[in-house]
Amino acid sequence: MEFLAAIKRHKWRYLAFLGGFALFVYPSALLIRAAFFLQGSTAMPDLHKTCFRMPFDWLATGNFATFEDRFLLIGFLGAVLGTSFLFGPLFCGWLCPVGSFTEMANKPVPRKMKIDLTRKINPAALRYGFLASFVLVSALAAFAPSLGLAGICCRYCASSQLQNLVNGIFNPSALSYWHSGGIMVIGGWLLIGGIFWKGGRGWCLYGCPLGAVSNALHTIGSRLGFTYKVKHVSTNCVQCGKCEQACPSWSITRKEKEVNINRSTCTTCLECVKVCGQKCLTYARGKLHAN
Amino acid sequence: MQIRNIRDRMKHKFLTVILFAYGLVVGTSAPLLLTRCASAGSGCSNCAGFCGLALGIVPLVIFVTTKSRVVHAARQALSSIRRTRNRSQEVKVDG
Repeated sequence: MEFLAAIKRHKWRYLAFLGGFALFVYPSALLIRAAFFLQGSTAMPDLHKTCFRMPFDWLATGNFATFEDRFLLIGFLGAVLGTSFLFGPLFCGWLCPVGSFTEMANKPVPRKMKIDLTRKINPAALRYGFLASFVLVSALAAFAPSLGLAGICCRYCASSQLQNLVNGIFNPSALSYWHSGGIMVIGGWLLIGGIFWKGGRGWCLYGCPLGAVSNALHTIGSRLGFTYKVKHVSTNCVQCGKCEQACPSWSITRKEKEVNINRSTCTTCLECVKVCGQKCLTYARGKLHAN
Repeated sequence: MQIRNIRDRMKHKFLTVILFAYGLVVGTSAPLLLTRCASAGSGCSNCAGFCGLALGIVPLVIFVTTKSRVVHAARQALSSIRRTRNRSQEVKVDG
């Protein structure tokens, strides 16, 4: 029942999730198809084409012109990171097919069965650590190709895993992936970081480099007055804790009548704004501490 | 009170640095270890799964979820040892 109520409350966001699938994941991949059509590319349109390790390869080889997906990737990264700075990581909270897939899979699971490390661990420190490792490994893969790291990075990427899973459904020749060792990676991403993780955003919180960069930009942007952000106005707050429970990315913590929003993990999904009965949380422009 | 605040802040910063280092080390070492695997390019990702799960995420989740319970159990054990020791000393004095 809780699951159905959540679907009713957030129908626009869940519709946006479906839109994210239609835009980025093969066989539809409408946005990628449109970009390839405009530049006359014949490459296969799928989620792999938005790989954000590629700019390292371009830098290393210095051969920017040979990459068919360069305009798509630059446009995609520019849009995601630009909106993150100005409006918060809206792509993560509303469109990302990887995060939405695990978040939706997580909803029907009873709360008692979920891993909840809120207040026990600082997700920001760990995710920026993984981001640093992503930069290091991508640079090594690009500048030292003899190591053979390029193909290995895909093994850890949840975007890659999701596309492989979907390929298995629509393409029988890709079905071999389903019974390879990749199932262990899916286990980590989908089971531990998704279905049995409070909020279902385990990969987003710790593993996703694009999410980490988006949130770093949001952290900087939220300090400026002209950018949009989720704000807490404490005058009407009754400390019910509903916002803390509703947040899928563990961004809200309460301490001594104060509600703290962690900008390093907030995905601007606006679940907290919807669930607050006292209208203490708003998504608006202006300074952070307006109350 | 101020000393306690400073100690808490230092503890928080130390934990942040440790977690950052943990992410950096696990995230870098897992793919680098996998390059040693002979079948790394063949599509088999057993090692990737093993490195990522067994060495990286699972120990951290287990540690964080059980930490408070382990500390609680250790404290209880210590206090019960102290209690029994005190009791035995009292019996000796009485005797």
